[in-house]
Amino acid sequence: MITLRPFQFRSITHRLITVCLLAALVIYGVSYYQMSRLVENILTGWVNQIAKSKLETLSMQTRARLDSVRNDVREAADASTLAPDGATYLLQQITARNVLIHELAIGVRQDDSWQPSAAQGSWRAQNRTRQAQALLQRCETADTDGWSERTVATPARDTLAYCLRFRGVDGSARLAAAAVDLEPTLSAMRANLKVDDSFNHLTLGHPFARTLHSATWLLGQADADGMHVRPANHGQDGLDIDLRDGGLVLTSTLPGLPLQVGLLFPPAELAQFHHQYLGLMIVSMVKDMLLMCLAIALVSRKTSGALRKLSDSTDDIARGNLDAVLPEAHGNDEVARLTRAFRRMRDALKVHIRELEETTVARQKMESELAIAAQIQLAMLPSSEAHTDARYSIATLLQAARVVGGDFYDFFPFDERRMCLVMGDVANKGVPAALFMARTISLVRTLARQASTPAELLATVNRELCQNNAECMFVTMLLAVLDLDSGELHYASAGHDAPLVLRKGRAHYLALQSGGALGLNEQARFPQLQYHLEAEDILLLYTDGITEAMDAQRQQFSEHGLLAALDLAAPTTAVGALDAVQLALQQFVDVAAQSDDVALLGLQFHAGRAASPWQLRLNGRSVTPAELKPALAQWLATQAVAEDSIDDVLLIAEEIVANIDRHGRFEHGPGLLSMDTSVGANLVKLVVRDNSIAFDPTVAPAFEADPDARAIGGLGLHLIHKLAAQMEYNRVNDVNQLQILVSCGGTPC
Amino acid sequence: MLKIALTEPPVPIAHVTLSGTLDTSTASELQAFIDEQITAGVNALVLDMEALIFIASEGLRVLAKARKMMRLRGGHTYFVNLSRQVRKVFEIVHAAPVDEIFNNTDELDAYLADMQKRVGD
Repeated sequence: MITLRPFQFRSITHRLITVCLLAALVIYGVSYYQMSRLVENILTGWVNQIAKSKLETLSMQTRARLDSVRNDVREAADASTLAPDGATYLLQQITARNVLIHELAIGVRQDDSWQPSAAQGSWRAQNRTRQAQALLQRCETADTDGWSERTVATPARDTLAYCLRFRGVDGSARLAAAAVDLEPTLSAMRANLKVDDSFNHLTLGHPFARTLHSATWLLGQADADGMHVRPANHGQDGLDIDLRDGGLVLTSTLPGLPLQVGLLFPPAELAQFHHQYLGLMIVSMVKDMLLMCLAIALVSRKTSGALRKLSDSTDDIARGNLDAVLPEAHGNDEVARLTRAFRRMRDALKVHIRELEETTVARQKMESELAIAAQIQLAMLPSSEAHTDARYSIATLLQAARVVGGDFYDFFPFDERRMCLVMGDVANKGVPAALFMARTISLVRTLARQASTPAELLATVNRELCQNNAECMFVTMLLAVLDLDSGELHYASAGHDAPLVLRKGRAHYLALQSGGALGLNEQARFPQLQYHLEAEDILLLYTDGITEAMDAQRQQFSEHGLLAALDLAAPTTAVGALDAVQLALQQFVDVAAQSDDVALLGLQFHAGRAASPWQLRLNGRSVTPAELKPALAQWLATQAVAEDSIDDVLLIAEEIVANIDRHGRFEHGPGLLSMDTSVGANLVKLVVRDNSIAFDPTVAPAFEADPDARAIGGLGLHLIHKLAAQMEYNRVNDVNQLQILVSCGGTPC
Repeated sequence: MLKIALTEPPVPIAHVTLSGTLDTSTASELQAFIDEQITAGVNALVLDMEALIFIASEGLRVLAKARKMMRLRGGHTYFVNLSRQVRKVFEIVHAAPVDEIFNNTDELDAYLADMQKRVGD
């Protein structure tokens, strides 16, 4: 969709006004031609009407005046017949009465010419006779048609001659002639024959007058010439007058008179008149338009003002203020309905959020209870770290798919020589599985005292689990009993996977004949098998959470995958074996979610190793003295500690262990030496705790610098002093606490 | 773990190459070897320690004992090719006089040839 940038407005008001103005422009533009034609027609018609009526009035007035002249001349003629020689006085009377009559003469026919018998006019006395003769001559030269009354235009003056032939009482032919002054008529024409437009202060129309036969202009010739009047055409009704450039011409021919009067309206004048009115209309329409825009702006601002307030309130709500004040909704228009809809939305949001908060609190409570349950569940299982014996080392792992799970392991002394190893998997997951697991573990531990073989123990536990098991829950279990002196391993399975043995870096599964899962069949039997563990063999017990772990393509890790992972890593310790399995499993599963609980138990059998009087622990993990240095070196390497510093730390650790081995005496329970390392900015910190007799190694030993002079041995403590940057010794609660800092030579470790 | 290899005939010079670690757990192995192999006829014991990556005080004790034994016999002990860690420990405890420590076999050979020449003279 194309959007024009100039028409994107921030305000509805601006948009409405712009659209309104554009629409007005288009509409008025389209109708301008028609409108101007309409104005022209109306105005021309109006001018025409007024001009015609004025012309009519003037014609009437002129005719009336000229008729009075005719009547007076007739009266004079009649009177002259009664008093043939004394007519001058009468003529004087008539001339005085009728202001139009300029000259008046009565002639008698004598010798083929007219001799004035009486005359009255403006002539001087001496000229009167000659002037009267000339006036009578004008009538004589005029076309005569029996007796008739004819008017003759006088070329020199704006006068008309009225001639009347009559016979005297003596039967002589007589002629009465009057020269009529047209000036009053022309003045009246000048004064009245025009159209006034008082509104625009315009005067329209140019009057004209001319004689009919000789086409002599009496009035307005200059105007007519300026207007390019077309050549006149002599017609019966007068002269046709046409303006070459258009415009308007109105004429009137007075009946019985040789006169034509009229009005000329030149085109430029008419056009100006039209434009004045058109301009007036446009101004008026623009004014209307502006008033309309003002009205639109007022209404729109009121509407959009409510919308703006609503928008501000919505922003407030979006920021989380659900008590934001919404504008009042008046009426039932769209804005009011929108406002009410927002109010309902805000109220609904409040309710939803409150519900959500309550749900969240409930879920958090549930989760925290589950987390506690998980801790309790873990506490039921023995810790591999709390359980150290020189004859074996053990490592365990338990990962629940949910917070609590149904997989479990266990190990405990079976009797003096033997220990019992348990790996189990309760069908199903979650809280029910965890509770059933707790029941199973308690049963195994309790019933172990009464049984002498794994098969017997499984059978006893099975019988107990079958009791009161309406839910038909069941558990698979592998139970193994290891003779710590001989390495003899007896094991039996209740529907559980076969155990694995790692010997010299190669892994293999042990043969297995499994019985049914515990809890289903009271009469189930469990075949028992036997295997001989050699020194440093690692026994690995696991649940199907490992072999049936799925990747994103739903492929299973499988027994083969487990075997391959162990073969590849070839671990030499129980901890290493667990790490290898965990790493391989993580790489296999990758991004897929853990689908099942996972439990692992690794036990390394140290054949025939005499029980050491003390145990060694590194960073919380039980290690043999032989494992200490490799494990410490590996850990320091992962912390990116420089090789030189690793050498120093290893030497210090070696000397400390050697010292305890040589001089340690444990008078308060089993001996324990624990080392905890941590890496700082450019220091490695080694915290050593032992419950041997009090010994402060921070007291510097005497040192004989000459190798030939000194006694052999006793260099260990000296080495520690030389390598350590700082040593601090405390004895707390019968425990020696030694903190050693090893510098990384000023560089980050 | 300690590997011991004897490359030179024991008389008069015993050239012993050590590799691995010489600590509490392995020191007894070297002690047993010296007791057994370094007979009275040996008057120069050369210990090549290029591949010995770690030595602890227990190892130093064995070396000191060997030095003392050779000294009592009128012989000498020479230490060649000390690895980084071993060199550092030797320096800290002055495990041997500097004239018994050589950077490489060539230096030692030159020294021994010089000594024999002087004895011959």
